[in-house]
Amino acid sequence: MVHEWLACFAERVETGRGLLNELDRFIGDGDHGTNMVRGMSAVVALVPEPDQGISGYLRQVAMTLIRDVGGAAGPLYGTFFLRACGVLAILPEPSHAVWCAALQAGVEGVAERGRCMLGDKTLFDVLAPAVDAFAADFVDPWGAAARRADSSRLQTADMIASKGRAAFLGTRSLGVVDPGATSASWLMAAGAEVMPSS
Amino acid sequence: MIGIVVVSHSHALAEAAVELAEQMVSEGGPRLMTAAGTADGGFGTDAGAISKAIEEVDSGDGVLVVLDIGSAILSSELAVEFLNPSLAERVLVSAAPLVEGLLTAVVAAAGGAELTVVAGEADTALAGKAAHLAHDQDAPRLLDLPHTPAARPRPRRLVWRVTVRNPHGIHVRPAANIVTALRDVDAEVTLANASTGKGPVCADSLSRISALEVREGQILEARISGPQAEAARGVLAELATHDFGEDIDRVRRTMALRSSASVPVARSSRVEGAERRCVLGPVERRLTGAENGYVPQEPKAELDRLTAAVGSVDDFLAGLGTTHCAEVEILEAQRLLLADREMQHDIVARITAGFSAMDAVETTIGSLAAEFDLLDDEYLRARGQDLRSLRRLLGLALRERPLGDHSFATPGVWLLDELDVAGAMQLDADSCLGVITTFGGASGHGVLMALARGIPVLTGHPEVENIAEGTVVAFDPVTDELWIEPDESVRGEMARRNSRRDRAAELARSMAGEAAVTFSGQRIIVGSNVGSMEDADLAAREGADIVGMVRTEVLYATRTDPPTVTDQVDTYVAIGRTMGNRPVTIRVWDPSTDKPVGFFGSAKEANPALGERGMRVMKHHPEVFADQLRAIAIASKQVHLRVLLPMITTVAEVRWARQVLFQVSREEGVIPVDLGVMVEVPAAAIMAGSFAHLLDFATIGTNDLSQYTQAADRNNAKVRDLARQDAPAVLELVAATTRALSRIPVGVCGDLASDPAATAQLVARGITQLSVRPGMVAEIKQAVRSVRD
Repeated sequence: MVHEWLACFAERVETGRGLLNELDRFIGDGDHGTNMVRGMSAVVALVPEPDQGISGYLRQVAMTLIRDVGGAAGPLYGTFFLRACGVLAILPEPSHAVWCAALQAGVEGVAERGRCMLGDKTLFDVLAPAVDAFAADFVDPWGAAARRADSSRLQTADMIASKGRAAFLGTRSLGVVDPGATSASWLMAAGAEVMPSS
Repeated sequence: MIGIVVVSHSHALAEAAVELAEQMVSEGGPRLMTAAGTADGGFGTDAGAISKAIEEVDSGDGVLVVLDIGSAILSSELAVEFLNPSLAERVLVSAAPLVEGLLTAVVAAAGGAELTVVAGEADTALAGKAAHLAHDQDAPRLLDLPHTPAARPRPRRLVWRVTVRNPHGIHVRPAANIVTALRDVDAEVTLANASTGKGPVCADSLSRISALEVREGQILEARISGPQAEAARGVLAELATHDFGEDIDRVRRTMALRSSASVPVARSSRVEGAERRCVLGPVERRLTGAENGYVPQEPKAELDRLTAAVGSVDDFLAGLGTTHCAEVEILEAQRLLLADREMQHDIVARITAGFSAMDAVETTIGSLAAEFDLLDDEYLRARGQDLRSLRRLLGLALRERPLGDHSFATPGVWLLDELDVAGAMQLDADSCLGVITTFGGASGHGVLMALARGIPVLTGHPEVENIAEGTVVAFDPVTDELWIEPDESVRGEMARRNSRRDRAAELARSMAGEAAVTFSGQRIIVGSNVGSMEDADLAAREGADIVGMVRTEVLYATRTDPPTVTDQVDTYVAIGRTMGNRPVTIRVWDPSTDKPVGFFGSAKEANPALGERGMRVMKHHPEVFADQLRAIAIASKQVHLRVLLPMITTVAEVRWARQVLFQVSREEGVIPVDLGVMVEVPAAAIMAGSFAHLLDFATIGTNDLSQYTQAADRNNAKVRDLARQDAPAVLELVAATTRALSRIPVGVCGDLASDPAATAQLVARGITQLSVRPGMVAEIKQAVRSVRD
């Protein structure tokens, strides 16, 4: 299931590579798409070991992303999955509550790693609200998270970047949706497509 | 001896830096390793490789990590987390610049210094260079950097919220007070509308704060960080206790007075049917660029001209305030908008990008005004008008014309080469009596848009090109007559025509809500074409039976990103509710060269009318297409919707679209809505029979159908007679289409449907639905009632 989630995300990133690069060209160095494709291709090629469970698999995913993405997204997504798998190792049955805890741990990890705050125009601006929406919805949490992620993604256009290379642009970063936020919204959208509602 | 790890996005850079550094010590220097680039040789960093390198170079005395920018920091800090905790304690990540820091560190380490000392030396690595280049004693202070252990305390972020009491919400004046109050406080503040989720936006732009549309009873939320964060919160709280500088009781009293007046304030101030009235007025030329006397110079000069113009307009508005007391509020708002930093910044950015000051002002303010047009709140929409006034004033100031009374403009007849969509969006209904184009055709989208806004348009009259500004002209948009300096008898005739038309319109309006039925009792559905929420409102009030076509690309014309599914659902439901749940037909995105859509990019084509437009573009953006169908599917749970596919040429296109519609409908758990096609390509009309089994309805787009069938461009005045929509060939195709599609309802949504003279001909050829301009519903229903069949 989690395997399919990441495979679906990989597909979206593959088809959207051009868009991510394009957005990153406006406010970064133009390679977010390429980096994500490289990272996610390696993730898709992973062979889950038997008996490692969701936690072990996500740890592998995290390490692969850290190694292969190359840009800032590597450590950020890597930390997200590392912290999430930490929770899942302790409580391996993936109920809504467990996923909430795991995703929240992941989001907090991203905030610490990147020293992100809301409004900094990063993928955190998508992941944080999406995980809030996930926690609030007991019927279709993945769907709620995906929808919230999508609208948060678009709101990043109105933010001024203060992190990463986009920060060098200051107010010129206005009007462009953040590429990291875009790939993060696709991660949540892939979740909604694959993961079952409670 | 400590070890050093060099982290960089570039493998080559790291290796070269190490080579350089190794030259600093002849022998016995520290262990150096690089962790740079990605496995496939590209730019990037890998925390795993970094942690391995750290483990490699450590001999027990610790490791200094020297790095370049951005993600190298993230990766290095992550790498430290992977280490054995006792090793992690012996690792420092240096804030020094890569090359200078590395060189200094290598020398210090080779001398046996311990980790913290080496790190300290690296931090001051710039001193030598700076001293060499600096002109003052302050240089060393810049380098007072603490060497960072792996963690840093998180910056404090304060959150502050207030429920707004202002009757008009946080509009321009309170927003301006917020901006001014925070200007001298050293803090970063972002504001959001916590009730609707709009934002966050920077608190230093008044236009952005107003666009949050925080209304009475909603929550304004601030997120504050920075050295004076607490002070900033205090300032906001203080401001809030005084309702952001607004005297609420006075505002409430004024509102009460207004609502007790006899005439309710209409959402739209237009007179219905206005676009068919005769026009009389002085001519104002609105030709662009150099033709109106503005000669662009290089950017620096343009910036100076802009500054001068802004100054003149501000002085002018300040002066007016003392003589036009009733308008004081408007003037104040205009001055505040003029001073909006963000808007000025955008204009300046355009000038530095090479636009003339005139174009920069026109485009920036024009698009900002268009954004305000889309807001729900009427009061805020009025601010869009203020922006247009500002734009006009700045235009005059840039051309060094007297600002005089033009601001409360004597309305005039605008003279243009041609009217495109961008131009039509900028039309100012209060100061524009009508438009005459010297050049363009009669049914371009710009013209349709102007007509929909109630502005009469006369097209293709080159004889007015050289007449003097201020000359009085008159024209009748229905009969296509134009008079220059009309005499009394002409003026009298025009007045008579107008009163006849007004009376007929009055009568039509009184029966507008009833069904339109021909003599023989055949019911003809008269619906409306809609390109904005304003149109939808008007259509509902005019008694439209359905919405025959929502031009979605016009609805979202100012966006650069496709609207989300949720956004669209809200919009489609809103339109449906406005129509009291009568059917609404959503036309799928229809990008074309005269209606470029921001989120579909536009490749240059040699022959755009025959190129990729409408449905053809959807093949390249299947996600955007599917999202729209998904939004329609979801919205259909609450309101009655149909889907219309534009520019259909082949059966395969319809099959594909149907598949996508069915799939998303299944996913959303709804029955697929009715699916129809626009018959505007002759191929579709001729082969209509082959689509019949796939469709629930069809709509004939006579605008494009008449162009393609007669090979004449509707925007080209030279061939306008050949592009007529009531030509025999076109009517033949209409008849053929309805015959082939005899089992389903076939309508017309082109301009022909809005022509009362054509109604009988269309009904005779099997048309049972007419989708017209919102202001024409009443009149076309009357025309239907006069059809003797």
